[in-house]
Formats: sequence, C-alpha cells, structure tokens
Amino acid sequence: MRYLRFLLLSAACVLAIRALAGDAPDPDGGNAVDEANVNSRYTVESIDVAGQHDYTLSQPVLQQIHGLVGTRLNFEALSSLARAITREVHAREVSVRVIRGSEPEYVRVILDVNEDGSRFDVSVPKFLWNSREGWTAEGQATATLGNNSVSFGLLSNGDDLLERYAGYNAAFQRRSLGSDKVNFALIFEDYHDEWNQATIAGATGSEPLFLYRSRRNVEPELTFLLSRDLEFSTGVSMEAMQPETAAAREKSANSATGTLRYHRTIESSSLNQAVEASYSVRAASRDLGSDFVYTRHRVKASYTAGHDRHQLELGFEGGAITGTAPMFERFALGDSSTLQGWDKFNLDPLGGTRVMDGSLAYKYRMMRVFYDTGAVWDRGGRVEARQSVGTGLEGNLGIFGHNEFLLALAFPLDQGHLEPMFVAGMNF
Amino acid sequence: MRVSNEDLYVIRVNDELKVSAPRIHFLFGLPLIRLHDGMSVPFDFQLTLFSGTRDTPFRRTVERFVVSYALWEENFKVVRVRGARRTGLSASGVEQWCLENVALSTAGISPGDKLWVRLEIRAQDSPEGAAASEDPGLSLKSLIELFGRPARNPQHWTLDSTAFRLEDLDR
Repeated sequence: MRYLRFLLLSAACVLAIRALAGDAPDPDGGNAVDEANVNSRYTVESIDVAGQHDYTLSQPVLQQIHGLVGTRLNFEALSSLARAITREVHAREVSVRVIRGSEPEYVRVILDVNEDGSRFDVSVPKFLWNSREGWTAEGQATATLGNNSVSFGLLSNGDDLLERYAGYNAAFQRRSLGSDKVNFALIFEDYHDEWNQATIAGATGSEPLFLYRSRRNVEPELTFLLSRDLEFSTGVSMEAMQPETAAAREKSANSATGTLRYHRTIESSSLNQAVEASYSVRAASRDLGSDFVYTRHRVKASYTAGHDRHQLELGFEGGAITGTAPMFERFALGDSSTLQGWDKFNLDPLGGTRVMDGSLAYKYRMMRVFYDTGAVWDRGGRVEARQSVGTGLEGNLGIFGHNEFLLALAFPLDQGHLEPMFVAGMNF
Repeated sequence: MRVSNEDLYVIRVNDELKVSAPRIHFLFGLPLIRLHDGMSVPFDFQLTLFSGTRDTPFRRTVERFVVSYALWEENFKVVRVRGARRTGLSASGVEQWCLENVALSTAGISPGDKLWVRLEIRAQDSPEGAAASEDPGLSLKSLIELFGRPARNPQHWTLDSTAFRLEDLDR
C-alpha cells in the first residue's frame, strides 16, 4: 500500500513538473488556442508587417495575408503566417499583436519582425545544365551582423555572357548608411575567362576584339530607397582585364553606373499582378582612367498576372551600346532565360551592341509553355528577329522554402532544322 | 517570487482544502502586456500538501487556466482546461476564480496531522506566439544563450502557509 502511494505520488509529481515546465497536455485538442482566446470572435480588419526594414514578401505569403483579412481571428493561421514570414525574411522571431480596429468587433493584427543580430546563410542562387553550354553553378555564403553583411561566392557561369567566367566574388553590404533609406555595397570580383572557338575565330577578324584571360572588378555602390516601389543605385565599376598573351598590356573599363528599379505588386481577390522594370546605364570614360570609352543602356520590364492556378508572364528587354565596349558588356541572346532554344554562338559569337527581346509564357500549375523572340545586332548591321518555343515544368518543391526547379525543352524556329535544347536547373 | 506565509490562507470546504491569496496579483507585468496585445496566457497552478515534515509532499494537484483579454469589451475570459470557463471578469475576478478552482482532497488525512500547503503559480508563454520563431538548430551561439540567459518566463510565484491541522480549520 505504501509502495502504491509512492507510485501515485511519483506520477503526480511527473505531471506537476511537466505542467510547470509548460508542456502539459492540452485536453481540448484541435484549435484549443482559438477556443480559449476571447478575441477569436473578432474579425480581422487588416494585417500589418512591422519591423526595422521594409520587407518584400513573396506571393504565397501575400496570398496568405489576403486570405486572413475579413475572416474571424484565427490564431493557428496567424502562427503559420508568422512562421512563413520568419523563414522568408530570415528573422529570429515574428511575434503577433492584436489591437482594436476602426470599428467595434474588428481588430488589426500586427506582425512584429524581430531580426537576429547575426546569422549565416548558404545558398546556391544558380544551378543549371544546358545541353549546349554545359553546367553553370553559383554558390554563396553570407554572414550578417546587424546591418552589415559580408558574402563570398564561388561560381562557374557559361550562361549569362559570351565568355565562361569562373572564380570568386566577395561583397560587403551595409543596409543602413545614416538612414534606412540608404544602403552601401562594395563588391569585388575575380574571374578567369574561357572563350568559345567561334568567338575566338570571330574576334581575330578585320576589327579584332580584345579577348582577356581574366578580369577583376571593384565596385562601390550606393542605393537610395526612393519609395516602397522605387530605388536608385549609383556607383563606380573599375574593371581590369588581363590579356590572353603576355606581350599585350592590361586594359581597364572604368565606368560610372546607375540603375533605377521599380517593383509593384497589385493584389485583388481574383487577380494578383506584379510589375518590375529597370533602367541601367554604365558610362566609361578617359576621365575615369578607362581604356574603353563607351556608354551602355539597358531597359528590362516584366509583367506577371496570376489567377487561381493560371499565370501569364510577359517580358521585354532592350539595350544599346555606343562607343567601344569590352566583351563582357556586349549583348547576347540564346541562354537559359532569353531566346531559349537558340545557341548564342550560332546567333552571334561576338554578341552585339544592340539587343531587343521579348517573351510570353503561360503557366498552369507546374506546366509552362513559352514563346521567345529577339534580335541582337551591331549598329548599322542587319536586324534579324529570331523566335523559339518551348515547354517544361517549373515549380517549388517547398523543402527549403524557395527551391524553384526548372525543366525545359526549347525549339528554335526558322533555323532550317529542328535541334531542341534541354535546360535543367534549380535554385536552393 | 516568495511571499510571507501570512499571504496564503487555507480554508476547508467540505472535504477539500482551498486557498486564498488576497495580496498576490499574477495578472501583472509581461503576462498582462501579452494579454493586452490580444494573446492568451496560460497560468499553471500547483497546490502541494505536506504532511509530517515540510520535505514530504503528501498530495499535489495541478491546474492550468488560460486567460485572455477582450480588446473591445475590456474584460477577461478564463478557461480551466478541465472544462469550466468564465467571461466578463475583472483582473482580480480572474485571480480569485482561478484560486477557487484549485483544491486538494482531505481524504486520508488524520485530523491531528501537522500539515503545510504550498501554492505555486507560473505564467507560460502565449501559445499563439510559441511557434512563430524558427529553430536555428544546435549552434555554439544557441548553447551559450541556453545556459547563459535567465529563464524565458520569470513570472513565478510561490507561497507557503503556516503549519496547521485539519481539526484547526472550521468546516
């Protein structure tokens, strides 16, 4: 009997300790939090995300916010939303507050983003294989301490430019320079370059182009956040290129840079729209000690509209170079995002000083079909528009938050023969 | 928080021992801020009866109450997780109602046994915010924080009664 009493007392002690430690079983089960909280009978008037900085939230999170406004206060759903925002903005914690709304029985929800003082992130922003150009991979590690961050990246990229460039980059960024509206970045890049045979052959023509074996860039940049949707960046790019032959001397392309970016998301219950546009200019002159003297203009715009599981994407890009620009500045089409299906070395192995391209894509769930058109040419040269079509799968596996994958089969049109290009890629 | 034993009064109601603590106010500080932010706050109550010596727990009961504050009506709701609930209470009304619903059975206690009662109240984190932080995994930083920081929720009250016998209490 004494032994039984000891057992019962021990069991009671265990339950008591568990309760005092905060993990007592919840006998209500289910959505017990909402049943216990008297405020769950109120209607959500609005949901605000508050924090030290402006945050750009993804479409799924914005949809989640949109879905909760106008409904009864649901603390489980708010916790789920807070977790999603925590992941997305890399915050230490997102806490929930509820205050009175503008009318009785309505409340406003405030999600306070508490940032971590320090963090370390590793990402693979680009990882793809192209059946014509092989692998492209970029890896990046970023350490953040308060408003300062330092990042280091390793890459081998045969997709973006006419050269395959491999090496490393490093950047220091300060998110607030005197004001939250001003950011500072200092970027350093050091790449070794490899050239396609068609480019080498073309560059030794009547007007030889300067092919380099490596290039190094130092680029300080200030970014001004003009409004929630608009920002302007300005800086200087000092690029030094080492020639292929030891006899030739190093050349530089030092330019003043400026970029104006616009981003707007428009949401309604039936249609979600996003508009992005940018204009960038790079002007290199002798005053900056540059061997190359040129001005490069580039305009990009995109529009995305989504309804239910349907999505329509429109893209446009145009560019022009005046003067003599180094190879890395020249425009090329026929990669994993422009004029897909075409080989950029078949189109123009030296690239061009003028470019214009557009794309139209329709996506239903993960299935995507697209049409690309565009032309790249030199000033005074013949403009020949090319077209391509393709289909593929694109989506989010949702394992680490934003790992978009892409599988695409693209067909160049008007080429005379059907030679598809296969692209597989993923962002981690 | 430890308060003098004059702050805890033991009363006998039929075959149960109950307590009152008119000078203790647990709707205070951080829990009250969370309540005014629209969150609910669970409070764990533990009532322990010692018999013979103060080191020997004889019987123990644990209750959890979840309190929330109606933002528009400006009054409190309290839910006892084992069923009962009250709405429209003032802060002192919540404190009193919680204590009224914590009781120890007197079964098996001899009228002449020397007894003591200890009341412990602990405020827990709001369940609404508990899952809103990302677990960063095990790191040197998290270990330093874990062993270096004070308890996340320091709202903890302990009250001890003076010694008494059942026969001393009025039925």
